[in-house]
Amino acid sequence: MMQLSSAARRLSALSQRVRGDARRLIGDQAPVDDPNVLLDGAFLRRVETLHFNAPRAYTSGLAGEHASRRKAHSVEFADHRNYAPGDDFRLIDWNVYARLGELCLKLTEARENLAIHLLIDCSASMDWGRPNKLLYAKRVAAALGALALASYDTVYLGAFSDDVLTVFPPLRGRGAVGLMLDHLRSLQAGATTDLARAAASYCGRPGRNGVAVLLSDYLVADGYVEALGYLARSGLQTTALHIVDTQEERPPLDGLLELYDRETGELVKVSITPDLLRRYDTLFHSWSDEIELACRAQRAHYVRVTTMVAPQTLVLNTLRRDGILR
Amino acid sequence: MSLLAPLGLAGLLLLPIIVAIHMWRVRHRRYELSSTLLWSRVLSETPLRRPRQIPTRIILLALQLAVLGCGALALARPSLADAGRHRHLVVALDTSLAMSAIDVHPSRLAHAKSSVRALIDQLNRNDTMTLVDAGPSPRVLADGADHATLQRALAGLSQSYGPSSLAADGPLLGGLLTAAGRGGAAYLFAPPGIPSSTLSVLRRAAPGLAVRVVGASTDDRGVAGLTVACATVAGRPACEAFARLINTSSYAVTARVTASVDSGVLAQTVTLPADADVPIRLSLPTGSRIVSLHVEGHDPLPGDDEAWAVVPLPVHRTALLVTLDATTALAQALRAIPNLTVNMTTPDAYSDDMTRRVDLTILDNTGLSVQPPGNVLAINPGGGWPVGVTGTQQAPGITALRPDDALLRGVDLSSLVIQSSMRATLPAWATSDVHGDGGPLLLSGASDGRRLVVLLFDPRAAASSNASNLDTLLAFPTLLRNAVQALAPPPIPAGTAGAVGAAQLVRQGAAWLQTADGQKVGLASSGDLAALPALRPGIYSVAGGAGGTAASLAVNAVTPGDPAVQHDMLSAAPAPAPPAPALTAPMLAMPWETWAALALLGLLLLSGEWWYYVRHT
Repeated sequence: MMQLSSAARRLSALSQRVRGDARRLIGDQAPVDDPNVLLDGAFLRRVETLHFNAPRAYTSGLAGEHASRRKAHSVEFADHRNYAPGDDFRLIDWNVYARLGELCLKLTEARENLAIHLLIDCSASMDWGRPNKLLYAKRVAAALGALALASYDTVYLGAFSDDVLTVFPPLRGRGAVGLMLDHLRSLQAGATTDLARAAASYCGRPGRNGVAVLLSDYLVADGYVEALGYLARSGLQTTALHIVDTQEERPPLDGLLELYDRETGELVKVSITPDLLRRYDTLFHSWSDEIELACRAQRAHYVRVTTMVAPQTLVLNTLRRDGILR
Repeated sequence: MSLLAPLGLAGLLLLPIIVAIHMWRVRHRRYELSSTLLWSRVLSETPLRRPRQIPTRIILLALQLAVLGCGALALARPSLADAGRHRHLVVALDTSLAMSAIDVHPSRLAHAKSSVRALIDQLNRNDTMTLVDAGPSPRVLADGADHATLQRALAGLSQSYGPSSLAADGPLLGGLLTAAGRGGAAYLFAPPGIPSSTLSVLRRAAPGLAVRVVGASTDDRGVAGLTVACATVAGRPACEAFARLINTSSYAVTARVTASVDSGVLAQTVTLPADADVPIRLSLPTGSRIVSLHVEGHDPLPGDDEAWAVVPLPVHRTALLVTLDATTALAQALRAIPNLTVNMTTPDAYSDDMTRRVDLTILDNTGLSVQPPGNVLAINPGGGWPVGVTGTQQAPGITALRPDDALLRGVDLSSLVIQSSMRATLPAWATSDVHGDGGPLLLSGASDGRRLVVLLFDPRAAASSNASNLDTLLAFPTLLRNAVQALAPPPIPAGTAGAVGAAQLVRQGAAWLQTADGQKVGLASSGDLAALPALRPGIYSVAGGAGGTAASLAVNAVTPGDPAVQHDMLSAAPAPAPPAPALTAPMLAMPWETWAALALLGLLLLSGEWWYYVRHT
């Protein structure tokens, strides 16, 4: 009895130390504006209760917590079927035989692992806005990754910029949260991005199935349709998270301006008039609709979010409402 | 409303230029975006208007146009005065010494002249102006509506160094204002510190007079009343200089006073009490000629910081006595007059050349045969020269003496007995100094540019005709000395700066004035009088007439704060008139010009433009 009590105290102390390390790691008390803080402690505790709502077809085959289309030994009843010669006798449901006099096999549902692919656009256009769009994407990715790791899913982190695809080793388990955050912090904005080429390169690797979340501002002339196609064809249930700054949605411009493209360095001279602003507004919304249509064509989810919406709100409300999380 | 300077509206021509600048301005502000992808699409779908076609900063443009409009209107000097209404301005400028103060740049008078110049520019076509020099000698400079004439008269107005005559100017301004009628207004530009009594006199005489005070300081340190007096002490002449140091400020001042006697300099520090004068006395060495006194006033009015005085010296005169009897009492009395050299001749030997080097000629019973040029003392002349004789008056008694007559100073004629005298009609050029029963007995005056004294009887008791006992009286040599001084007066040793005066010349002829720096100026002369122009303070030399020697002339400014001068001014002012209701009349009747308000509005708009620019860029 004394030994049990001593072991419980040691376990409690260890638990407290681990929780303290985790708070330091995720910034339980750190200021929100700190770019090194990607997750809030309270937020982390809330997202741990969520799961990705993925169809059974996207499970990976490894043991996990997600229901699979395949049948395997488990405690979850799935169905009955008639016995056929060669079937395992141990699967015969003798209760059915007693009631109906027929030999039926009891089928159970396999619980499999889900691969979560978090793909972050690190182009220069993402490194802009207040708050910074790239930082916003990192925080959302941190929250999604954390909830995936809490569900014992495998998290794949990918970042692309300057035609370079950075893929981190897969992460699994709650203990990988800190490593995932380190990976996210190490991401730096590059210059231009070719989404189609990056997606093709990412999907060309073996074992790409599961759920993909593509966090980008989609400010590319073309290529995002192809990128979504590559992701869909490789067996990924894709969610296109369109991150928009409020100044992109309603630019506070006036007078004669020389607009400087942060990503390409291009200069556009423009004389801002109310009529021109109205035309921009129309084009912006039609452009967003184009992206959404492209997503629908590829059976992908489309979520547009402005950086003024807190990541907590996005994850806890919007994504749950849209059925991406449950 | 009328525009006093319509040409100012030419500034409105800049309005299109500002609009063009806004339309053509192609300067773009750089603005960083995450991507110009969408803007490029917008511009590709919407043809971009060239930036110059429509000014984009409408508010900024409107503010700039408003600023320019206000500025142009202000330059045009809109006036709220009725353009068709006739106005007459009486503008008086005090040009006394106080207006030479430099407490306003460049001087009070220059500042006042620029103000008057502006008033002239503001005159409408129907308006007229009378320009008055209210200096030591008030006078009307110009009158009329011609701007050029008024400006010329104003430009010709020079600084005077005399005392102010404001106390006596009231009637002149009042008369001009009355003549101006209903649309009249009077302005007086005067220095500060005018006594309230003087202002009261002015406003009573000229109701509605607006006094524009030029300058602010009434502080003044100066030298006043520098004089030199000489007396004989123990047989030797001794001279002393007297002066007063004036301090009109409300605090005591320690000033350095420098006295210069010919080439010698003596300096001393003197403390001048507040609002007081300090007498100063200086013993002069024997033989001193010119004394100057300088106080380092460090005040805005340097014109009265120095004064000069000339030590009065005995004047040597030469007289030509034309007589038949060189041993008479007349000759003896003339020789007894100090500093007078007497040359004698007879009527037969007389010639006009003998008078070239003499200051006066004395004719003793010479008759018509001798009529010399120059100053003449004629004794019992007879004939018809220099006065016409109509007969003889027997035993004339003295009935009248001219009061305060220089000829009769110290002369007692109560014991005079005249057996007979010539009867003469008093000529127009003469005044009767001693009048008898039948006409003048002694007369004097100036005719044809020369001075004449005529005694119509013989001073000798033993004379064959017109005898008298004058040569036995003590009055005789005194009368002769007075006559010599009247006929050949000593030069004036001092004058007042800024005042036009006259200098008596001993002999007729060209006269000139020499300044301290050696510059010679010819003087207009008539006979024995030369006109002295208004001079600056300093030492001058005046000479004139044939063989005349130069005499020094000290010209001093009159210190405005001198209590003696203030007293003289007030005593010279006319008796105050009964209080007039015009005292409550508005002081100013100036047309209200809106340029200042427009300029202020322009500045406000400019500030608004600046604010807009800072706020939106």
